Amino acid sequence: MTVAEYNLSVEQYADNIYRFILKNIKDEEKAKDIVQDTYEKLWLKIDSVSFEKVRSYLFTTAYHTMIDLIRREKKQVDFEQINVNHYAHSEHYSDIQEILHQAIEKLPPAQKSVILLRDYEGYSYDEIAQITGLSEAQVKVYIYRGRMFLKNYLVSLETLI
Amino acid sequence: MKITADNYIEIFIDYFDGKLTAEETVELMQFVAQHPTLQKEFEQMQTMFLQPAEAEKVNFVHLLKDINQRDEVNASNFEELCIAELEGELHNASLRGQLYQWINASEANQKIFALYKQTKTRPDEKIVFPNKKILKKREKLIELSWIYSGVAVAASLALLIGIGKWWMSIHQPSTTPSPILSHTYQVTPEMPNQVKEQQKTYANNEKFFVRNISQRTLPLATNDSVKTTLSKKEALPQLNELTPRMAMAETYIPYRDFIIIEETIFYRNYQNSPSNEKPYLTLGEWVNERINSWKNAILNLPAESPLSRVTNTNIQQLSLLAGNHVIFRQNTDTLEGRKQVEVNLGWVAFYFSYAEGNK
Repeated sequence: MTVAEYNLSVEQYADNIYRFILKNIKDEEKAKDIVQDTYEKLWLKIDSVSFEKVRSYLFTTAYHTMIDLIRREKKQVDFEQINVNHYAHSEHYSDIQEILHQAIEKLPPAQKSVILLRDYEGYSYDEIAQITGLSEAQVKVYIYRGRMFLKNYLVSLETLI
Repeated sequence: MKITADNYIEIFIDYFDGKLTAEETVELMQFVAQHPTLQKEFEQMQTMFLQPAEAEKVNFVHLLKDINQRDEVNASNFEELCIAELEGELHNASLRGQLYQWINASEANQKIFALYKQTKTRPDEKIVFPNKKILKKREKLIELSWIYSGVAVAASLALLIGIGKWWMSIHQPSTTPSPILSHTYQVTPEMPNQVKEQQKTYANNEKFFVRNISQRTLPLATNDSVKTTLSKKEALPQLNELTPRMAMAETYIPYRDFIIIEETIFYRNYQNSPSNEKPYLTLGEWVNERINSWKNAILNLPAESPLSRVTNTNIQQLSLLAGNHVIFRQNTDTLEGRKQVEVNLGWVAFYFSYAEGNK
């Protein structure tokens, strides 16, 4: 990969990676650090990573960096324990999307990442499996369970309303 | 987690109690799918632990099988097929048709399908990484360090070589073969006219293969020139008539005037040589012949005479030089119409001439 292609990958994927990471860890500064760290790792391997595969490389690297951070901090997202004042990021979604993202916060990190990779980036089950290190069967189960959970969450809110 | 025939019941119970992680759940589902005899037992336990509606929803065992192989759409697989349709996994046209028939069959099914359509999250395009410039890199500079180091090495070598050459130039010993030959003699006004003309002739009649010529002209101190008439039979000029006296006269002694012309040895091949004789002699052979001749001549001299002592010296020198690199040259004296032969053995130089027609 050339330097020009590297810089092009910044333009094309930096925002996507940032959104994905930010959605997972809900911390802007840490999300920025992960994105920077990801691109630094790419820069070190610029000669061995082709431009055609840079997107997968970036998301894989970012995901594993994020998981390492989560495990270190042992962050558990529990909707009932969430204090909105602890959020370092304010979201601006439509009503439905806002509800969905609130529901996603209840999912375990692996499931949340799978859903976001599927919805945000349109990765296939196989690609998500390669990024996350899960099996394709696990990815499929997470997707189905996640969809079902989100649907039930929406149903529960409608019931409340 | 290793599921065996001994512990699967406990793991089933843990699953229905919600104690398994997502990874363990998937592992359990795979185990159940690989053991069809246990699947029925699993489904029976589901009815014990879960409400019927919930039991149907969480039966993810079916997910591990190709969803397109479902025989029909029913209440137990309806939501699973809705998810498959929204995920783009449903390729069975017949099954898809049945699914949409189910969806359109009731408002409840339509609502369920609509809710599943809303579960697809979308990113907020307003969220962007601030200041992407810090992520970008400039073009890599050409690694000049190796060039610089290479140039530095080359420059150092060149400097060392230059210093070495300079050092050698000022300390290198003289390459001239002998201190005598390194002396340069000029043609002086006192030089006989004959010699001057001969010098001119030599310069105009270079006919031989020569290399590394250096001409050192020694003014003749005497008009005596060694001249001899060669017989027709000899391939080389017949020098047997050189007497010790003549040899001494032509011996190069410092301050004597001699014409010394140096050049690389060459061999001549003479015509009209007797068939039983060698066409030519090497200079070493010729020198040996002269040494033997002079030795015989010396025997006739008084032992105490100066001539004897000088002659002995010359012969000793000749002996040392026999077979060494010797200068042998033949020039044409157009002035006198004669051939001139010069032999330079280093310490001894011979000069003689012969008439052209006497070969």
